[in-house]
Amino acid sequence: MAEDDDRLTERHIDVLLASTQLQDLDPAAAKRIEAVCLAQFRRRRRPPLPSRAFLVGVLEATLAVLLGGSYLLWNLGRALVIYGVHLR
Amino acid sequence: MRDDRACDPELLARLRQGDEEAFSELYAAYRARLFTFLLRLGGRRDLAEDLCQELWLRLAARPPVLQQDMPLGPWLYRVARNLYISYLRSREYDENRTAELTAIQFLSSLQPDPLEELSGNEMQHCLQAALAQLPLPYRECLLLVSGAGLTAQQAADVLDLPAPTFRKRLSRAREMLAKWMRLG
Repeated sequence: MAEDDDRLTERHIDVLLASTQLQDLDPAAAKRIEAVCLAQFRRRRRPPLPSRAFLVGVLEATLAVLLGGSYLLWNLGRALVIYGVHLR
Repeated sequence: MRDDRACDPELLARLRQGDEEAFSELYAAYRARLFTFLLRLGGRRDLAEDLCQELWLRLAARPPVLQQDMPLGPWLYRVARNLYISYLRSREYDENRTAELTAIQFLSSLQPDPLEELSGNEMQHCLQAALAQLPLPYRECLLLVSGAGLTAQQAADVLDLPAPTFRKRLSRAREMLAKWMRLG
């Protein structure tokens, strides 16, 4: 008889748990969390801006091309001068 | 889930397209259920609130890509449970030593059910007290199936357990809870 009672209690646990009233966040907390999440959501939607590292990289590459090009011209000029001197 | 939401895939698709209303609809649909799950899992309102915020932020930052016809609920419960486990690990939480404290906090954090007060039925209160004493591996099984309404397979997937192991654990959880309720 006691076992029957035990089984009955176990069977009713699911029903009891399912019937327990749901708890909820405080209304203020619920609104705050939703606002924070929506702000995060909007940030995600925006196209990504070029980061600072990317901009620095572009600047570095531009300078390298400019300076590298100048260096090449400088050396080419020097070579021509030396060649010219040598021809004389 | 037993109350599967057929609209989940559609809502998720809208969410990925950046529809704010879709986020609000999901938030309204799952907020209380997830909060209740986290509250029963951890027994503290402040902790459940923090973990809830983290959970919803994750959804907002990166909506999951789920297989067709797969409800969002199990994914949300998995994230909620993992957040709670991470919290326990970060605090080096010792469940055994603090079980009593958790039970006390748990009981004080739960709002009384007006019907329970009116009818004078202490069954619900007794259930919550017994639930708080249940060790975490058993408590989470019971909360996912009986509380959250996931199927046994979905809950086993959430916990990364083989289905037979999960069923044994669930059965043991029911048994322990019933025993403590009878003692209480």
